[in-house]
This record gives sequence, C-alpha cells and structure tokens, in this order.
Amino acid sequence: MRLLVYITKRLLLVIPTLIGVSFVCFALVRVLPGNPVYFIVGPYATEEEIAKVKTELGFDRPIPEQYLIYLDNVLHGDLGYAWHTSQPVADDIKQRLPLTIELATISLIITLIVAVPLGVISAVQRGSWVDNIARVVAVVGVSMPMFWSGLLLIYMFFYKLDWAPPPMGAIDLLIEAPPRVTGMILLDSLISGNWEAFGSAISHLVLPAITLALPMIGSITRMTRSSMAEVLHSDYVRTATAFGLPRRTVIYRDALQNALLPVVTMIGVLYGFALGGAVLVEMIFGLTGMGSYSFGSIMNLDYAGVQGVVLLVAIIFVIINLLVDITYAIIDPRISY
Amino acid sequence: MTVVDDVALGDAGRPWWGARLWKRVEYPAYIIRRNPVTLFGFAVVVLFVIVGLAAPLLATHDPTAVSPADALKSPSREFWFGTDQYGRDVYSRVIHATRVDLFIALSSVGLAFTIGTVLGALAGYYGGATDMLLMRIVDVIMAFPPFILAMGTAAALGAGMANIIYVVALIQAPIYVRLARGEILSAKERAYADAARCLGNSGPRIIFGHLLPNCIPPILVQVAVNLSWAILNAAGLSFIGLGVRPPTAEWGLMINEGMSFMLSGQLWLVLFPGMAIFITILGFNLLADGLRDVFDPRLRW
Repeated sequence: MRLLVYITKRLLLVIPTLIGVSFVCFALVRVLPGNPVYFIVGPYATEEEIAKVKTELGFDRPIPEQYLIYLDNVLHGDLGYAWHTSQPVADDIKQRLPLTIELATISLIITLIVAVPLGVISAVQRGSWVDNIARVVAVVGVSMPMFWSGLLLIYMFFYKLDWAPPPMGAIDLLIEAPPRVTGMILLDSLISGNWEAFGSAISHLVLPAITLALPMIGSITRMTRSSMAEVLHSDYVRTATAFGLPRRTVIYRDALQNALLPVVTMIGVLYGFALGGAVLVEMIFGLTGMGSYSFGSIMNLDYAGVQGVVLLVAIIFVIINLLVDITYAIIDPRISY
Repeated sequence: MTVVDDVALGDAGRPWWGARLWKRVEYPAYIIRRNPVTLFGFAVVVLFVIVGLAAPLLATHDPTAVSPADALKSPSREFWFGTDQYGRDVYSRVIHATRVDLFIALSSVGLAFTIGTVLGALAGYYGGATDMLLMRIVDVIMAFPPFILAMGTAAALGAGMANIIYVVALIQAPIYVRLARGEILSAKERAYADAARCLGNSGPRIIFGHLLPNCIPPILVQVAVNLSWAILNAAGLSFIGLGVRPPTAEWGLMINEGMSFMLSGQLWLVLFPGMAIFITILGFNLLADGLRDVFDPRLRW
C-alpha cells in the first residue's frame, strides 16, 4: 500500500518536470538568439519582411501564448519541419529513434555484463591481479573521450586488422535489410528469421556499442567495487560468516544483493549518458540514428531538428528515471518515503 | 588558543600564520606524497596548467600558419606530431589547444561553482518558497541528459568559445546547487551555527563567513571531477561543430578535422589531440580520487 502511494507520488512529480522540460525546449527554439525567423528570411531581409514572417510564425504574440501553441503542436506530434531532409521532424525522428535506443541498450547490457562481475571479483579479491586490472579499467574507461576511442577502434579493427566492416551504416549495403517492424535492426532480423542480416547488423553494432560502453564500464566497475567492499565489511555479513555459512553463499547470496542496489540507481543516469554519447558515436560510425540526425541538423543550421531530438531524448530520460525509481522502491523494502 | 599551542609545541620556527597555513595543507600534502597515483594526477594537472600558460614558448611553429608544401607529413624531427592537411604543425596546435581547453574548463567550472554554490547555500539556509522554486529548476535541468542539453543550448546560442563556457556551466551548476544546499542544511543545525546566530551575525555573514568555509572540502572533489567533464564536453561540442570555431586549435575540433584522414593512414591527426585529452582527464580523475580519500575516507577504494 505504501508502495502504491509512493508510485502515485512519483508519477505526479513527473508532471511538473515534463512541463519544465517542454518550457526549456520551447525557450531553446523560440526565445534564444538562434531563432528560426532569421534563418527563414536570410541576412538581407528588410524590417517589414522580418515582421511579416514573425507574424506568420506567431512570434509577435505574448510568450505565454506562444508557449501554449508550442505545447499544443508538440502534443499533436508536430515538432516542426526539417528542411535538410524535407520532412517533418517528427517523421525523421520516428525513423531514426529505434536505432539509437537499440545502440544505447546494447551498450548498457555490455556494460552490466562486464562491469558487475569485474567489480565484484575485484572487491572480493582485493589486491589480486583482477583487482588491479579492474582499477586500471575503471579510471582509463572514464578518461577516454568516446569520439577518440571510437576512432582508434575503427583504425585498429577496420583499417589495420580488417576484422570489422567499414564504419558506414548498421548493416552491409549488399544485404537486404529485414522488413521494418520495430525499427530496431537486430530485433527485426530476429523476427523475420533473417540470420544473414542479423550477423551483419551485429558486426556493425559491436564497435559502436563497445565505444559507448567503455566509460560506463569504468564507472560501474568502480561503483560495484566500492559498494561490494562496503557491504562485505558490514555487520550482517560478519554475522552470516560467524554462523558458519560458506563464504561463497555469504558473498553471492547475502552480500551481492545489497551491493547491487546502488548500481540499479545508476542505470537511469547511464542511459542518459548513453543517449548523449550516441550523438558522437553514431556520427563516427555512420549510423543513421538520432545522434547523426542532430549532427546533420547542426551542420545544415536546421535547428528544429536538433530541438526535436533534445525534447524527445529528455522525455525518454525522464521516463527511464521514473521506471528506475519505481523498480528501486520495489526491490529495496528498507526505503521509506 | 590551539594556534598558540601548535606554535609553542611543534612549529617553533614558523610565524603564527605560517603554522596556520601549514595546518591547512599538511594533511593533503601528506596524502599526495604518500600516494604515488595521486601524485601522478597532481603532476599531470600542474603540467596541464603550465603548458596552457606557456604555450607560445613551447610551440615550435605558428599553430595557424598554413604551409601547403608541408601538408600531411608524418611525425619527424621538424614536425614532432606531424602536420595536417594545410601543413599546420600538429604539435604546436596540440600545445596551443591546451590553453584554449584550460581556459574553457576553468571559466565554465568557475562560473558553475560560484553561481551554484551561492544559490545552493542561500536556498539551504533560508528554505521556503525560493528554495522550492530553485530545486524545481534544478530538477528540470537535471531531467536532460547533460550532453543533449549542452548540444541543444549550444545550437540555440550559436557556436563560439563564450557560448561553450555558458553551456558547460549551465549543465554543471545544478550539481553545485544540490551539493552546497545539502551541506548547508546539515551545517546550520550545528552548535557553531547557533553560536554565530546568538552573537547577532547577519544571515549572509553566517552563511558565507561561518558555514560555507566548512562545506567547501567535499565540493572541491566535485570541482576536480567537473574540470575533467568540462574538457570532455567542450571537446565533444567542438567535435560536432558547436564549439570552438576553426582555425583556432582545440582538441575536439582537431580530432574532427583529422578524422577523414585516419582511414588513409594519417593516424597522427587523431592520435595526438586525443592523447592530450586522455592524459589530462586521467590526471584530473586521479587527483579527484586522491582528494576524495582526504575528504571522504569512507569512499576510499
């Protein structure tokens, strides 16, 4: 029952946050200097032309009214028009969003698979060679800029070793892409049972996902290690050991569960990081997701596209944090709100 | 009283203010000396600052001088890190970029730290409606993935060095607001805060004279971490074309410009600027770990 109250409260708190987020995005589009009027009329427009376009776009109305119009448009799925793709921004994003989500999710899975065991072993066997490797990985991972490590991986595995496919697209050009169901290429190839496409997509996504995962592996390894070390020193673990439980049981049943709680809270933050990093990684690997779309919009001074991406990614991030908080409340009964 | 004792007991040769100063730096200095990794981080950061300040002396060429005859030369005795497609010396550009990135990092973190800490301290001490409003604003800023908000804001403001500084400060300020607010919330319940109030000190005087100085150490760890984030974000923004404008040398921008030559074998255009970012960030991170050991031993690892 308390849990239900908490979930309701947390859901209600999302509303002001989303209003705030939409207002910030509105401000980025309309109020700040780079507003679209000047892009439309060009640098040599007369005062009258500017005024005319302003009226057309509704820029002469009071700001609160403009905000309401913006909100109304967004709620109807109208994010403006991108002239560098000659499509509504919403359509562009609908096409590209799945790949970004797919990339971010794969990199998060890689992170958890590598970092959690590494952190646990490193805390259990303090001072061992695993521990030393984990510490180096942790600090090196967070210190490498993604747009650099990604390029080095391409140089190494594509240019030098020729193991990886060229960094262009999410699937080989000669292979027929699976019919679009979810838009996520791996899922779609699985659904259609197209193993050739699946293999090609995997080989195209491995390097970008690793690039995106490296800094996250660093921070999660570190977090797991310190949280595990703290739990191993706690009274209840000592009690369990004193009762004569095997060390293995104590570590992997009693200690691990609690040590992983802080890691769960980090998942939301990491997802946000992965979505932000996707901009850089997609651009390097020639993947046509939201990241390379925003980059294309920036290059073409087509700012409606960028701001559409910013709004959508922020909404996704808010929802993921909401889910993480609720999950946390469910799995950790000690927390009272 | 304690100061007098210290002078009498341990630091006979030092004037009283020297003893006081020594007390402040003694423990951190001990930690830095004791832990070689922290020492390495500290050395890298010092090196970064020195290179940034002395860039014109250390560079061997003009960082923006174009020389088509020398285009795309590999590293050699004359061009230590090779040259780019315009024949500009990569080594000199990396060195000059240090200055640019140092400036961006210091000013953006300085801005975020000052604004964030002051607002957070005031909100934490006074509470009430302003506090509520400020925290909701902080929530909204933190509802964006940081790099995405930086990208959107930079796109709206336009590229350029000054705007990068504002943008990076914007995404970092909320961290300081929350930190300072939390620290002040616990500090204002302490006995010394009551004592200061009983003596009739004004609110701002209590906050900035009594409470805040005691709240600074944990915030300092954050400063070290944030300096590295500032460099990463500034370089990332420049890399996607929203930051420093060419022909100015900046690490992220240099990587972007060199990217297309990497697959014809000219790796040095990407390797060296990236290495500079990597080593600098590594230094800040190691230093931050060391500082954390000093100020928050519970998190030692």
